[in-house]
Amino acid sequence: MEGLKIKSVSVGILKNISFTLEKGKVGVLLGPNGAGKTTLLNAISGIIPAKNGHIYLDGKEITTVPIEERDISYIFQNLALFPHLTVYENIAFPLHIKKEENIGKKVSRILKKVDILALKDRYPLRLSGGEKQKVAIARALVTNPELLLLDEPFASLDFEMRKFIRAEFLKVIKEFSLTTLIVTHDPYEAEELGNNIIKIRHGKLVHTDNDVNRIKVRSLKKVTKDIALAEFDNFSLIVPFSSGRSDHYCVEFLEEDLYISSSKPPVPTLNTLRGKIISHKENAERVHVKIDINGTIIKGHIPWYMWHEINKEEVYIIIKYRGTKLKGVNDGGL
Amino acid sequence: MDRKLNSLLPIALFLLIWELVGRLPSVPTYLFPPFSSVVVKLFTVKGLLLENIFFTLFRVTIGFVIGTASGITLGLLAGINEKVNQFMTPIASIIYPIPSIGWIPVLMIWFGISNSVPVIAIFICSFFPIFLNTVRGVKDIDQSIIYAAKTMGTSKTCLIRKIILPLALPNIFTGLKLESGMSIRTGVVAEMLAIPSGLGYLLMKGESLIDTQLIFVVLIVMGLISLVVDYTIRKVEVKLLTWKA
Repeated sequence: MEGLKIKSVSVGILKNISFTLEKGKVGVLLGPNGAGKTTLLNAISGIIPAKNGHIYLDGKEITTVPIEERDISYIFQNLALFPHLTVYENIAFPLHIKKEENIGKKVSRILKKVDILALKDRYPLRLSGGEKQKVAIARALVTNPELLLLDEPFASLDFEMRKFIRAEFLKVIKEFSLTTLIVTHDPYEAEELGNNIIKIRHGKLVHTDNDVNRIKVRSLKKVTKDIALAEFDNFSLIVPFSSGRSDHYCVEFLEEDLYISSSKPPVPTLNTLRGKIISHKENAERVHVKIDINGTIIKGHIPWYMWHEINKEEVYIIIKYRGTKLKGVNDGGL
Repeated sequence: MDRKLNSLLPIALFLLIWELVGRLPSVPTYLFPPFSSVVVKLFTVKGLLLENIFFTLFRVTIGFVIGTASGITLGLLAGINEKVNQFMTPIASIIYPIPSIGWIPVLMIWFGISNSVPVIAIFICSFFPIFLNTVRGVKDIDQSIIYAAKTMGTSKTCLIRKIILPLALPNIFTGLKLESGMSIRTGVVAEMLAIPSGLGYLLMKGESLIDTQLIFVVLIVMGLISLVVDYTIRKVEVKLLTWKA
């Protein structure tokens, strides 16, 4: 997805949304209510048109392709099961539309897979919340779509049921190797679900996992109770330290927590490094760069209006202390 | 069984009171005939009655079927297309409250004494409420259901046939149940005023001959027809809307 601009009555304008989701991966759109997550899903599915930008699905541009012709399954927040059709008919519906063969066999297979074979003759109004969820998932998976979109699909379930259905869902998704984009406002759920977390706030993309720098720490020295010195091959950083232990650590920081300049800071500043730009890519708002710091490559960006002032051979990088995060590698966190 | 008995008991009691009042010496039979004499009359005029029931049912069926079919079709169209809705709904909202029998005098002027008068009156009676109920039914459908069907690749006609129409049916049936009885009443009134055949004509004939037995026979038949039509519609509704039960 590149430079997408969407106008929505509920959240206003979503601007310059760009991210890539690898085939077969699960992406999570994380953000508070009203951030524009559902609007973004609606634009990808074709429910609302994109004003600018491009949407690609498996290499093909689908920005102007009508909703009926995009090979996308969408599980809405309220699941949108057809109330007048039985569970079996709900799942068979998309297969009938696509005029597929062996519909009975395919439906039975998916019914067994998500463990709802016994419910096949029931109408949605006579199903529990968890059962409805399973039917919606089965209906979305039965056509094996290019992309699966889910809008807070577990929101209506209680905590225990949510945990159970989420685990079941992930199992099925993995089995089908489906490219999936899930909306949630729950950071814990996002961590559990996604290979790639895309944060969105006030209609703008905050960052994707692609924007995160992650550098393996060679050794860690505690400076105080809350501060540590993380040493890398050729430089070190002062980072916040919280309780917890791990054998190995890495330091994470976002592109937006980097300040890049051609001149040395006039006063000694914490976490200032020197490097050189080895590659760059321009877009409408900024120039994305890769910087070599004594053999370690980090990603950052520079506003395009500053780009011409930058001496690519020698740049100074200040990494915000508060933007750094120390993470245990073995145990997944501190 | 008990429930059936419970509902039949008041009817039997009502007929008994009717019979007793009709047999009171102070009540003239030509003004208020006992129930038994009405039953006897029913068998006496059997042939005439059947012939006129046919005429009335024929007119009601034609008017009601055309009114219902066009009400549903245009209602679906207006429910889907906002421009059609903006054009049609204000007109329907103005015409709907006008009692359909109010149109009969002008229809008589336009069409004279012909079958068109009751048929058109019944059409007006059934079209507008069914149209408005269908529009409401379509508008009430959760948009995400429509979008879900669209993302599956559903074409417009398939969407209307398989999703929109079935989901608008509860509202359509509300309109049908309201207007089926009203259509029969409108047809009979139109026959009373404009046509020398049908149940309405028999009522007028009973009035002119001061034949209250005939009038009561026609009234009972009208009641029974309305009951059967209402029962049939409810049965069809239950059959088609099993998912709601």
